[in-house]
Amino acid sequence: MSNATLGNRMKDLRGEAGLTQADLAAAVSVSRKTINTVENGVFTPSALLALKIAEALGKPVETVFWIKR
Amino acid sequence: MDAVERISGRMRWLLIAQAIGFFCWQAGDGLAHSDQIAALVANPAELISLIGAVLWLISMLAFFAQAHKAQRDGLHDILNDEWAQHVRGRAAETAFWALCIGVVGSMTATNFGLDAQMLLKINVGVAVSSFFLAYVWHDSRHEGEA
Repeated sequence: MSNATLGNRMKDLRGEAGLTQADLAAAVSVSRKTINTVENGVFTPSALLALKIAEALGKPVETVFWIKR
Repeated sequence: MDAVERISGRMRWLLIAQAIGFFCWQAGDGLAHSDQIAALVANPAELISLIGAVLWLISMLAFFAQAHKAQRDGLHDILNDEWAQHVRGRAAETAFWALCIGVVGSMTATNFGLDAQMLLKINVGVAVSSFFLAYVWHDSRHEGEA
């Protein structure tokens, strides 16, 4: 069984883009709680949500998310 | 503590109250109306059942009021959010196992003459309450720096 988890740079990239969690949540049509859980590494988002977040941050998805082993 | 954590914390306490209330309602009702239970236990069980039903009803209404407020403010959406769907799925899984174990245990107990109606009520209470408590357990994992 794999122990791989999803790493992310959402907080740094969100800061660079000048977005709050609420701004990002509104941009990808989810609530702040979902953004909070993804950002803190608690929740692995769906591929669709990951792509939407990357798009909202203006970065390729592999810059925002990666596999942590 | 930011707004998301504050409202999530309140909603989790209301879910715990719902779990206690629902279990007391169902288990108390099961005990109160069983012929196998002495009046010494059945009478307090009736009262506990009533208190449980009132607690569950009030906490459920308060929970949905908080959920509406959270959705309106864009903090949390208990129906449509990916996180909420994830937590709900895990909680349902826990409730399913609690129900399975409860049914197997109850079927065994009825073979020894225990009142099936009473056991059914207790099982329903355990299954629903385990859903609420598992929801609280999984949801509390979101805590972290905003």
